[in-house]
Order: sequence, then C-alpha cells, then structure tokens
Amino acid sequence: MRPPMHSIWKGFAAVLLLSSLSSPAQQTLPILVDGEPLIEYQAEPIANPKGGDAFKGSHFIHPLKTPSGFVITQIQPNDHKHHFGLWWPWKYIETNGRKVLCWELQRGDGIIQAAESKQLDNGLITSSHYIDRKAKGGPVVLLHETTTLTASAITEVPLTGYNLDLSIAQKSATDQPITVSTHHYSGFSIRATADWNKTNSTVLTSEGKDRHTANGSQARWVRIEGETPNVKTAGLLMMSHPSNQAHPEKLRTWNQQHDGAIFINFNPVADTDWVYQPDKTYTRNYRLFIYDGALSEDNADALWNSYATGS
Amino acid sequence: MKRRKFLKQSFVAGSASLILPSLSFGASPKNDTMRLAQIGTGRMGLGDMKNAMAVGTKPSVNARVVAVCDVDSNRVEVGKQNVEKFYRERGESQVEVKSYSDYRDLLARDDIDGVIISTPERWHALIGIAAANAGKHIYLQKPLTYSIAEGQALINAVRANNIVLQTGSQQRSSVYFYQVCTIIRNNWLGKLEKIEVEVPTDKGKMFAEPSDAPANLDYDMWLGPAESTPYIEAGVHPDQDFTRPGWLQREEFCLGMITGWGSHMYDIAQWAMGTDHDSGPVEISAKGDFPDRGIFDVHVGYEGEALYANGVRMTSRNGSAGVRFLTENGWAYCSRGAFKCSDMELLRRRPTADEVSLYKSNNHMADFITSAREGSDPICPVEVGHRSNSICVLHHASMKLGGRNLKWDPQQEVVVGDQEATDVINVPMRSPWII
Repeated sequence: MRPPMHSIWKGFAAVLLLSSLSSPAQQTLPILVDGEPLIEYQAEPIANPKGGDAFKGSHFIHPLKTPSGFVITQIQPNDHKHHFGLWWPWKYIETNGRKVLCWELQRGDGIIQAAESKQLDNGLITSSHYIDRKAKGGPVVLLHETTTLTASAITEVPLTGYNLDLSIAQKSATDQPITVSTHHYSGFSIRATADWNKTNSTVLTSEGKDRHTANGSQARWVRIEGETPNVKTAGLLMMSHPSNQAHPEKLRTWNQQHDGAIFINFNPVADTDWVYQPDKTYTRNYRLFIYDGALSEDNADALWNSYATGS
Repeated sequence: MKRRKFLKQSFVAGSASLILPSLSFGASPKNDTMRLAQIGTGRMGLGDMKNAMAVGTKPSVNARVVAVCDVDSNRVEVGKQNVEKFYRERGESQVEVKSYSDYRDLLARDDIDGVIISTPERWHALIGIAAANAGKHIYLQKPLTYSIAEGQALINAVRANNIVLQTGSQQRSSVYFYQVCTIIRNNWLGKLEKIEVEVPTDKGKMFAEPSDAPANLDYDMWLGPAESTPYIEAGVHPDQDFTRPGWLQREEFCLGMITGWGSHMYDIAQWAMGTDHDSGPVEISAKGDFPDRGIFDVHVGYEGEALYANGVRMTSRNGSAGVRFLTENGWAYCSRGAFKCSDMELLRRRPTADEVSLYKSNNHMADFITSAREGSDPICPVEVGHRSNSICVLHHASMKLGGRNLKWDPQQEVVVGDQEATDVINVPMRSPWII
C-alpha cells in the first residue's frame, strides 16, 4: 500500500503553520533549555545547501549548543556535505526487493523528510518519513518515524550541562516488512564541530577505547570533548539505552582522517540486519549530556548508569 | 550522619577503649574517610582492592586502603606496591600502607573500619566472623562460604556485631540484571513458570607431583580449615604470576563452577523471585560429570533442577553465563552486558509507586562503603549471599550423591530425611580453624 504523496506535503504545511516557532532563515524549531534556544531542530529542508538542492536535508539537530553557547555540531562539511549535525538516518533499508540508500541523500535515492512537529514544554514530538524516490511508479513512503526530543534544565552536577533525550520510534508505512540492512555505519550519528581536530579533541568510550581504537568496538557511551576557541573545554556524552537493538551497539568512528574530525555513529546493524514486521513499532533511545568543562570517565559512567536505570 | 552511628558501628564488640585516630574523621560525614584493608591479594583481591581505591577517591564515597594481608609474602608485597603506586600517582609523597601475613594481627588494629576479603572460600567464614567480631565492615567475595553451616554462623556474627556485609555478587549492581529482575518481580510478563540458569564449565587436566612449598608461602595457613594435603603449586596458586589458580578446581578448597558462577546466577534467580533473603527451593537434584582430571576433581558438566514451593522450576546447566525467565506471557533474559525480553518495551519500564522497586546500586563497592557509613544493609547483605550459596551447595551435594533428589526445608535450612546428604553438606573443619 502506498500512502499518497500529498499527505507528506500536508505535513510540511502543518510545520509551516508553526512559523512563529521557526527561525525565518533556517526553518528550525528551537528547544529551549532554561529559556535559551540551545537546540535547533531542522523542521524543513535547509535553504541554499552547499552542493545545491540535492542536499536539501531536514530532520536533524543543528546547532546543538553547550550551556555557554559553544556549538558542538556542524553540518555540510566540505568532506561530507551530507553530514547534518546530529542525525540518525539508516544507511540502507530494503523492502519488496528494493534496497534504498538513505544516507547520501544527494544520490536521489532515499531521503528522510521532516513532516509535522508538535511543541512540548520541554521539547518536540516530530514525525518524519523515509521516502523511496526512485520507486517504480513514483516516490513512495516506506517508513514512518516519530521522534520525541526532550531537554532537561541545566544542572551543575557533575558539571554545567543538560540532557537531551531522543526516542526514535519507527514503523513500516506499508503492509510489508522493512529490513534495515547490515552496514558498517548506519543510524544515530554526530558530526562534531569543525573547531575540533586530532590535536585538541578526544574520544573515549565506555570500554576505554579512544580515537584510534573505538571504531568497530561496542560501547554503552561515547564521550567527545575538545577545546573551545577560548581554550576552555566542552563536550558531549552520547549514551545508548541498554534496551536498544544489538546493545551494546557497535561504533563507527573516525580516527585521524580529515585532520581528526569527529564522527561518531552508534550502529545496531553493524553485524546483522534488523527486520521490522508490519504494524509493529521499533524504538531506540539515546541520551546526550551536553556540557561545558571536562567530564571524568567515572562521571560519564555514572551518568550512563543513571540513564539506564531511570534514576 | 550517621557519623555517630558510623563510629559506633565501626568500633563495637569489645573495642570500647579504642580512641578515634584524630586524622581519620573530619567535620562532616563526607570527610569521614573509611579506612579499608585488603585480605587476600591474589588474582581477585588485587582487582577488588583497585576497585575500592578507585571508587574511594570519589568525595561521595571517600575511602582508602591502608593495609594489605596475604599468607604469600610475594603477593602481599605486590599488594602493598599497588597501593603505594595508586596514591603516589595522585600526588601523595608518603603513602600509609602496612603489610600483614596473619589477618588476626590486621583485625586487631583499631583504626581500620572495613575489610575486603578475597581469599579462597575455605577461609571466608572464619575471617568474616573474626572481622565481624572485631567490628569491621566486610566486603566478602562470593561464594559467601564453603558450607551452609559456615554461612549460618557468619550471619549470626554479622548481626550480633551490627556491622555491614556486602557479598561480592556484583551482578546486582548492573542495570541488566536489575531491570530483568524488576520485570519478573512485578509480573509484567505474567506469572513466572520456569527459570533456566547457565554457568560456565571448568575444564583441563592437571597431573602434578607434590613439592616443597616455596618459602614465601605459609602453606599451612593457606590451607586453614582444609584437610592437610601435600603442596602442589598447580593446585594452589601460581608462585610467579596471578593467572587462574589451581585451587579453583579442587574440591578440598571449593566446589567448582556450581559455586564459582552458580552463586552469581542463582542469586539473580532468587532476586527476581523475592526468595533471596529467607527462602529457597524445596527440592534439588543435579547430575555432574567427574572425569579423571588428575588433581583437578571438581565437576565439569552438570545439569540441575530445583523446585520452589510456588511451583516455579529452575533448571541449570553449563553454557553461556546468564539467566532466562519464562513466564505465562513471554520471557526475559539477562547476562553480563546484555538483556533481552519478549516485550522490549519492558526493558525501559519503571515501577510505579505501588509496584516493587528493587534496591538500586550502580557500583557494588561504592554501595558497600556508603552502606557501611550509613549503617544500613547494602544491595547484597549476608543473608542473601548465604541463601544464594546454599542453592549451589545443595546442587553439589546432589551431584556427589549421583543425582539424588534432595528435599530441602528452606525455613529450617535442613535436608529432610536424608542423613547421608546432611553428612555431605556438613563439611568438617581442621582444628584449630573451626567455627
């Protein structure tokens, strides 16, 4: 069954009605943290992307800022113009014998498009769709996603920072199963600020792996941390919930390529496919702790434990 | 605090004349540095000690290791060096750490608040009871004791002296086991019907001749309550390194994987059912393989079955360590670093106010230290460690009796109508090391 395309555009229209919440230039929806717009959700395709209209991505977070305002994310770096801050597309999904590339949207194959968004007191509930643009007979929606984004207030313990929780719920849009294909990168990812490189930033995982050893390892959490332009330190702790598929998920990370640019991906399909049965919803949960300062390994572990046990 | 309570509990049992060392305690509870000693500085002991030192640096925990003890002088020296290195790397020029070869000398000190006991389990009850009588809080490696009677005596000592004991069943401080036990305890998957436990297998053969014990090892003290037997390095512990010791495969000193890992996994089964403090199965049977492996004589493969009064059946065998719960509506599984469930949403569910919220700990050693400071039971108190170990011991007894079905009275803690089985579990202790 193929949902009509007009339903997608109806979704965009609904977003446009929220114009009072959107930044006119970027079509983003803010999530306020203690009254400050530290998180911006891209609710419409970006305007004037690098590389032309083929890169008109949406449904990602950028900028993502620490409490002091340091921007942790970047979008469209020259080396990978399809990297969009904090974003979580599958590399490939398969159904009815077609394998659809969803990661490199510029190829014109699959794309994930933001649809509707609903504002919460402390976040957003967004809906989005995976669309097979090359399907025989015209574009077709294959997968629905509902993403709940909620932010905490700023805490001073263990240091100045706040949590951003993501709950990503997906369901086949047709009466057919969807296979999320095995690949060495896919899913929940961040491309970190261009300010960070191999000399001024670090990567540490829950299993003690670093920039050089993290790739392909399993992890409960990953800490990325680096200097800010005024030579202070800021960072992000990415936590994967233990109930996630293939927990502890494998990582795709970079070591020194592109001068040590930081790319981190929690990947539940590193080793095996993940099959979604029709009419069933599949959920993954992640928490980010975004902070100013330097986070110890012990505190990172304690934050993950707190997240994992709901305490 | 609690400060007053902590001091009281730390200096109980005939220690009334003790004077607090002025540098040990500060003006607030968080400045009350708990002073710990490590007894047994072998493979597990060094790890336990490092955990305690690391977690002790947290202001909210605040503890340090000030003494080490082992009957092997080489090993105690390594332990001492580990302590010195740890604190020197944190900027201390003079590190206070004293070595002991006899735990009784260590326990006689009045400025030690707690001990971590990581010896072979033949010694657990004796040192644990002595530590309790000396008013020391105790972190005791699992299995809690060698025999059921030893466990009962240890409980009495811990409670009589009002000290805190944490059993080293650290799986309880892991979210994976916590969440699955929460699911089962609250019947979120419906009524529990069956539990499947898997524990790893011992393996290998060892044919070796006795030799003189090395000068660095007080072998008679190492034997303690075990029957005197000639020294064989491959059946004690390596003289030159800290690889897996041979005593772990000799029945004189332990019962094998049924206690080594069974005490972990049965502990989780009991936690999920809520039978962990004062109950247990009513029937136990197990068949074990005891092939000729030279001096290694603990069981290898085994299959066991235990029945609870509520009808729940618990099977166990060798395999990949973990516990699987089967219920009327689904299943849940937990192991180290992973859990699964027929309803994945339950892995994220939290108990409501009127549901069972299990004790939550994120760090087993930290939980011990903070519990000792607070004067409250930790996540795995002595009774729990004892009840988990009892299941292991009963499985082992059935194995030794060719798979006989044992009727167990968990209230009275006796084997019903079976003197032969009672004789198997009542293990003699070598004088003077008796409880």
